[in-house]
Amino acid sequence: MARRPALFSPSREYFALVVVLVASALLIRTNDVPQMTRVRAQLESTVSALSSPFRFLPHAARLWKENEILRRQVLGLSQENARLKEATKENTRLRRLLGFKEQEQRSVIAAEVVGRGSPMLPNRLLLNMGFFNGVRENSAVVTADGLVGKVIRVGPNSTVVGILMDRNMGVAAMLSDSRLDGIIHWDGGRYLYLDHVPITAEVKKGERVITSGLGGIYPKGLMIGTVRDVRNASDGLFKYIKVAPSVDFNRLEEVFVLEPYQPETDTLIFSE
Amino acid sequence: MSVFRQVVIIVLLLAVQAAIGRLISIGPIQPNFLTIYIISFLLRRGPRDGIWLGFAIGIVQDLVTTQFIGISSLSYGITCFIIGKLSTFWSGDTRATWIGWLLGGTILHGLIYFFFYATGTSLSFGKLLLNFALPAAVITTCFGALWTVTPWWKSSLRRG
Repeated sequence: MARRPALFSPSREYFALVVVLVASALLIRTNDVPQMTRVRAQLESTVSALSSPFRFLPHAARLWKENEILRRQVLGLSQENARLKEATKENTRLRRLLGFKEQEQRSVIAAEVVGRGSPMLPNRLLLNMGFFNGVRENSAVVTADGLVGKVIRVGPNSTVVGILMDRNMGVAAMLSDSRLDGIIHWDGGRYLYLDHVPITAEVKKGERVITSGLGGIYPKGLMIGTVRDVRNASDGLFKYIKVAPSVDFNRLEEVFVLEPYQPETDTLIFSE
Repeated sequence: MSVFRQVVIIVLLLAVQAAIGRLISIGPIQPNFLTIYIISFLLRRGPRDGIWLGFAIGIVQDLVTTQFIGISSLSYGITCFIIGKLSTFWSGDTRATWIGWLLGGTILHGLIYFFFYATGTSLSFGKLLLNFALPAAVITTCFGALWTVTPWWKSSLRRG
């Protein structure tokens, strides 16, 4: 009881509030400072290292069962692999005949999700692979279901991934059938939306939305989701295309980081 | 207040949040054990200590993986100030008022957090509240209510 007057002294509370407000404002301004990025990357690597052993415990039973299923799948896939090798050989021969370029083989790094963003909004993933494992900034991150997001920050042994459901994420995308380009954004809820598709375009529900390869970060053809709803946007120029993401962002446990995408560009030489 | 004890509790809560939060989440919504601790501490120790603790936990949360450093610390600081001030008039000594302050605190924290998060974007503040802040406040309050039926809750109340 004797401590209460000191704790509830109004001047101390207001002083604490002002200090917190000023310090937080200063911290918000340091978000893009390289030194702060380095500090965060180091801290994330530590958290990643500390969380890995704990993550194994609740999943031990699941891993046992998963191992059994995977053994069975390996058997089936090895047969399918032999068949596909033959098909690839035939495909390569035919592509050469037609003069197509060989499609590049992009290396991937398998990583485990060891953490998420804040409990308020889990729109960042912390992976247990980092710079020393070959992960680089701005690499696309995928699963078998499709595009997850891109690498935001790389630490020595950890990586922070921004998923599609994030305020600043914009992905150059296209509709797979109508081949119309647009930009994918998060709608603030469970869905994404495709922007910049002209109001005159015909778009069907259920049509697949894939990456267009424009923008230089995501390779072309990665699955993003399917069209769920189409309506005209309030600006009267574009359609508002609601897209259901193909990836379940709440159940991500393992992801693949692609090597940084380097689009082929034609060099234009202008002469005066 | 032993600073060392608080650091140990925060580290443990962060570990619990990371390990269990995801397992008991409903979609992207998970209970926020750190908010429960901050509000509990605030009701026991008063606004000034609550503001400092909220600020410290906010920075730790912001530093690892989130997009902006400073938003959580700011929202926890303001929340602790408002709830701390109000609770001096109507203390959280009974189970119902304690749960009421926790619900109020988590909603207020969500309001401030998403206000700053949505600023400067095309995201709807209302949609973020409905999809994330309010469900998170409800699930966090439910877990907080479970805490009040434990024997430790009584000892965690404000002294004096």
